[in-house]
Amino acid sequence: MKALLISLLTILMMPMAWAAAPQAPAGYLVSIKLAGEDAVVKTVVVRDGTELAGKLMMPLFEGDVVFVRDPASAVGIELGDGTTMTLGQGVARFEMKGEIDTGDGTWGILSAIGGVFADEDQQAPENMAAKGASLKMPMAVRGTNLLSRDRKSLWLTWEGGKAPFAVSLETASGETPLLADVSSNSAAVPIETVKAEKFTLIIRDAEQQKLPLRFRLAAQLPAGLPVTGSSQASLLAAAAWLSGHKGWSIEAAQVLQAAGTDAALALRDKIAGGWTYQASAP
Amino acid sequence: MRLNVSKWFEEAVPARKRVVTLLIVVAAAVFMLAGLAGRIVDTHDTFASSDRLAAVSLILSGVPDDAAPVTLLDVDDETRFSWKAEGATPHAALVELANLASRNGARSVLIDFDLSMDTPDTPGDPRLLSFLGTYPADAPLLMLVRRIGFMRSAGSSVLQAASATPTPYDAVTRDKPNIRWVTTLNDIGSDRVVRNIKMWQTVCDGASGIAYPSAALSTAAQGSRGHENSERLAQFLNARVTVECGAGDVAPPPWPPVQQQSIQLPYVFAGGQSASALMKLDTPNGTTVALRRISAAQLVSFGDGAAAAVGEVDRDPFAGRVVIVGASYTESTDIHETPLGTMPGSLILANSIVQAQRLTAVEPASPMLRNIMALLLFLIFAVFARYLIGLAAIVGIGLVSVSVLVLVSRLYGMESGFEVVAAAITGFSLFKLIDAFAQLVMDIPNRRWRAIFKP
Repeated sequence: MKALLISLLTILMMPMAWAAAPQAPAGYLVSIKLAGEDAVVKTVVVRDGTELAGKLMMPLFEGDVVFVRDPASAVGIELGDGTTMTLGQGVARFEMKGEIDTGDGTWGILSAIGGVFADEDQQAPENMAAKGASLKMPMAVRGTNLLSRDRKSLWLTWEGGKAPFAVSLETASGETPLLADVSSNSAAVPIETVKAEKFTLIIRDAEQQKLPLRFRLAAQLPAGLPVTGSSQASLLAAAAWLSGHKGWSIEAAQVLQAAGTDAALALRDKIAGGWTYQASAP
Repeated sequence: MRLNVSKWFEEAVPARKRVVTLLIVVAAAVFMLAGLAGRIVDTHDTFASSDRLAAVSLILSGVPDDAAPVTLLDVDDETRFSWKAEGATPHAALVELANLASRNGARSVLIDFDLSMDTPDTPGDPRLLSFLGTYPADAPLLMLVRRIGFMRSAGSSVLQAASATPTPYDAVTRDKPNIRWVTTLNDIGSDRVVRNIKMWQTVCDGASGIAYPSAALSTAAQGSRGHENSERLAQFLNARVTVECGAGDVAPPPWPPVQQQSIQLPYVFAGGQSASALMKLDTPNGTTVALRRISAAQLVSFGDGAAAAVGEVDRDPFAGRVVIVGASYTESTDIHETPLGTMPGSLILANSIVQAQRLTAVEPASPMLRNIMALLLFLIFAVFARYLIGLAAIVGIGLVSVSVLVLVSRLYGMESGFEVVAAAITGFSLFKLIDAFAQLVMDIPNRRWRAIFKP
């Protein structure tokens, strides 16, 4: 039975070894600035004994030699590990080795699998409002959230995390506290002191989980507001419509929070939970 | 003496077991109070997540042999800074990027930017109008993205495509067969994760309408060699309009073999900037990578309203490849959660295009075949549970699940793979539940209510 199990596992694991391994480029030419004799001759690559003119994004293979004749020239090479080096100044020649990391080698596959199980915060690019392990705001987008210019206070609600929470404004020199010891998962954040058109708020919980939210004060609402008037029905319809525009859900929630009626607060809570009026092409 | 030692040992074994149990309980309590227990449970949850399982399966699957290599010319934050762009990305720069691609032998070019204007009477960008108006008939297929508006039907929670937003470029593209409007709609799940894409979107106007293909369907229509075959695509889209807009029933056209509107996307590329090139492909032009992601500012400069190539550009990023002129800059807000992490919409598009042939050609397994495979997998799980200790059985079942997912997904598509594995795991859970219940029932006559305790 043991032998049967081992054979079975071996057969089933064969797909892992299917990755083919043809030769990929070792890097690319990513910038070319030629001076002196280089600007006249224009050749910067030697491949199999032949001098070739360099072109932007040209693939370079193992054994290729990139060179400059004039120290004032600057030729940028993106190497296999994603780093960039520049020929010129003190470096005149560089021989390409290996190949770029294409991710389909054994180690690449193992590394990618490791990445899948790694901490989500580390995977998310820092310019996005990271979802975090549990602290999240369904109505926020991962890019920039848009607000109307006259906002003095911001009603925010979030999910997860552990109280007490703190809200701060990210500045060039660090963080400026706006609210501290918030015991619930919602708060009215004062932003009248925020002078910048673009700013980032950071919500932090007791366990130092961090939820960054990027905002921009927009000069005007999206065009094409389908309803006008000051009735409650018009306001609800306008807020719902606004939530259907990417990045405007938080502003829609502010409108409803200010209205304060039961219907408005019910719709506010729905938007806070991630509901949007419509889906549309990006 | 020997007898006494042996007796002492026999008596001591249960005592030692109790000591070991006590030590385990104390250690677990310390871990729990130190907060490590949560970490361990989190790790287990992470492993058990179906998205994680899918991601591992996708990584192991790699790209198929008939994959379409893709280049993403990425309007990222650095590019916007370099171009001093505020608000809309300068169309003149997009034109220059598309022009570079079409001149250098791209298989097709996709401008993944919303070209509709805030108001219908706003004129289009003159450079883009000129580029489209003079687009040569022998140039590669140029795909432009149509923005589609949705409305909820009365008494239904389902959103219906209600309108295709007009653009100032409609008139100049009308009689250009090699310029095609496409849809880039994702099918976003209730948890906001994009696992599926829409292969087409029909917008009805009475009993007629227009069906917009996705970029993936458009690419698949070209075939694996990249030859344009718009007739079969048009035939399929016309059939969809007839069926979906209520004009009548029509026999499904022979192409594409898979005619599901929403298809699970087998992701290949993750969203990290370091993933600039993934998976190698053998093409008629030599070995290349499935994805090249190039910051647009490395190719094109923009200033004073004019765009220009930074220098002489090599054909390699374009020749024989589908070129996407897309965005990942922060304010684009086109960023989504996927099984492989957060990624911009343009990279989701790249994932769909590279697998276009697989998406439309791999027919799912028949229900009978799926059931047979699920049953076999269930039996393997049962054998593991019978002959291996708990931890080894769990690891073995995990490995076998991933391997079967890879194999079945390759042969019959991802949905079939998931259905087989999900059915087997559900069956196995039921088996364990019934097994435990049967054990309990059999123990009751001898042990009465104490049967709920371990012997």
